[in-house]
Amino acid sequence: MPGMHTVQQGEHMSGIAQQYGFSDYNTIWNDPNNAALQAQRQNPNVLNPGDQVYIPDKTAGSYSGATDQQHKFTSAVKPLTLQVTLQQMYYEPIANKSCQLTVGLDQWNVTSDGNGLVQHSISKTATDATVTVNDTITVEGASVPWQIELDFKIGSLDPIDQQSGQVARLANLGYYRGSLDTVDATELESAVEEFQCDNGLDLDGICGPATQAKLKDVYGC
Amino acid sequence: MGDSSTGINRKSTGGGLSASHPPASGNPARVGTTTTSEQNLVRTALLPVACWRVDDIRFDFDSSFVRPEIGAEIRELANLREQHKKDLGQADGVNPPVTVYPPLGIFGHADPVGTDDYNKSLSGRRAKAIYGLITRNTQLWQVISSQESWGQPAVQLMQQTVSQSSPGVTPAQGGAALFQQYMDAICVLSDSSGQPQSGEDGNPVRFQLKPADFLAQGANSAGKGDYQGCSEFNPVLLFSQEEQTEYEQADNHDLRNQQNAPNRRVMALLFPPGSQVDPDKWPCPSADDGISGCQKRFWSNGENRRSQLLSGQRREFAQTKDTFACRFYQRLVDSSPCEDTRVFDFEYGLQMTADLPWSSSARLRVYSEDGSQEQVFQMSQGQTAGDYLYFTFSQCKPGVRYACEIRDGQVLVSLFPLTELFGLLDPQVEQNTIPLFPPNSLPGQPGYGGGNS
Repeated sequence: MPGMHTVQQGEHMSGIAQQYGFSDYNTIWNDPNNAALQAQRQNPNVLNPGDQVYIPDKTAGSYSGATDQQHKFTSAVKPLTLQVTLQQMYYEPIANKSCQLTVGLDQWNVTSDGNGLVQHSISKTATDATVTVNDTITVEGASVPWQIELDFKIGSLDPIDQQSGQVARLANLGYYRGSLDTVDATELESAVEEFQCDNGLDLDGICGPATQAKLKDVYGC
Repeated sequence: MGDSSTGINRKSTGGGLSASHPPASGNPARVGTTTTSEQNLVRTALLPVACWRVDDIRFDFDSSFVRPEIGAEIRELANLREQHKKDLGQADGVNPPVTVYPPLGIFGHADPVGTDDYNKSLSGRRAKAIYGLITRNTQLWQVISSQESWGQPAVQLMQQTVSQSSPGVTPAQGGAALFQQYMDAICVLSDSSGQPQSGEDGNPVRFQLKPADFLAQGANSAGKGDYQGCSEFNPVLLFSQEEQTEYEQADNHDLRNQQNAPNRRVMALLFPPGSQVDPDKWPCPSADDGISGCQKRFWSNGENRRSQLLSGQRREFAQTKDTFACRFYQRLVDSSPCEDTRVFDFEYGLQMTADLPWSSSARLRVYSEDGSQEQVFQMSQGQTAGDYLYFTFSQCKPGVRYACEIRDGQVLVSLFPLTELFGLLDPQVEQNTIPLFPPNSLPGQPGYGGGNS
């Protein structure tokens, strides 16, 4: 039966599709009843809590094949992936480092690329992840192992036109240091101006359309 | 000692303050997923863990010559580094164990008198002077001393300091050799009883850092990222309009300079162990650069922030957080106890009981641990309120410990031992008590401490 789904914090289209038994989120995302949502959000993985998603009927697919042969069915859906580029503020990308990515009960050894990008396909229901970077630092002229640990809330990034989405991106970029739940207005003004300053925008401390566009561009989504 | 409940651990040393910063909130990064190519750019933030401030009193006026009394602050810097170091051992895959210390960044500040350019240069020289002192960079001191013409009084003071601290050493005539001796003399560390610490070889233990102990690890020859001058852009105190008018008169310039002293300071910030910056990516210009690099980092209303004067009242950074023009610097020290230069009045109440153990000729004396402040009161100077006799200790400073005693002829009554009074100013509590000391060895029941501002 078709119905409406109200998006909760941390949900993305892939997870919603899985919840309703769809292997391909595009069946929901591309349904004409979700055209307005798609136009507003653009990215099926960055939804806002409260967004209304139309859940269509499941249509049975059919396939004809001989009964005396084995048939292999492969889903055409692209896997859900976490892609995070790691940098040290006022320093370098955390490039070409061996890292441990922990997502729920899964753990993988991955290596960041030359730009610091760490990526892996993850479960559609994952909510938390940790990356432990096996870095080195120089102490008294000798190289010493040094671990950097970063925690992530997966799927909790709100759209760029929401203040919560702006604050989260500015926090991830190292500009905003306050609470993500209760926004500190002075800290946000400082973070926005610092971002504007670093990116050649006019300084006004307000995260307007031009700043939002630049922020989305610099942040990566 | 100090305010351990908040983890701030302020410690004043008469010519500066050292303290830990309140811990930063560690929010997990909220990230998006993708089925195509969208990414999340996540940077590790760079926030200081502690601060160390050297006050104007440790420099000659309008000069970067560092006075020998700075030894007290140097010892606190050594302590602060120990408090915030990180030890790595076998559990971290490190063998033999190593200690990683918090890297430093130095920021000099001038007062609003003079031009921005002049003060950029002066604040930069003061930052350099501190950097040069703790890294024994005598070449840096030679450059500054010739720019400022330190002169014979400085040479004599250096020679005298060397003679006093190292008997048997003949002070050099001047130049790099004397700078080296003087730096060594004032960086001698002492133990808790004030005696010089001796190393295994029997020689005094001296505090000395390397360029690698700073934030940019000496990667830039002009010290970019390691030390810088902030000119007069970040005042902690701005006069009222009326004070400004009064101080502008030629006769009052000494008073003006005295009142402006809190603005003339050198800050060192300690960053988390393992932090490093690339000088090319560091927002601050070098100590030798002009002011344009600083201006780029100003708040959009930065000029107003640093210059607006109010009628009838001063503006103080600790209170309003809006007196710094440089947004970037403010982001580093927003919550720093070292940028709180306020002083306060503390009221102490003696509970009057029938068996008052002292006569009316007794004197109440309050003094600071560092010996820089003392106030003596006669009993008749107290204000009576209910059962209490109140005395107002004025100009108390955060981080300074004060003790209070009553002397009645030869009989001494200790009312409270060395205590940081600022930590007792809890607005939630109507009367904060100071423990009596020692509790059972006092004649009678001498008193009760009540603090309010």
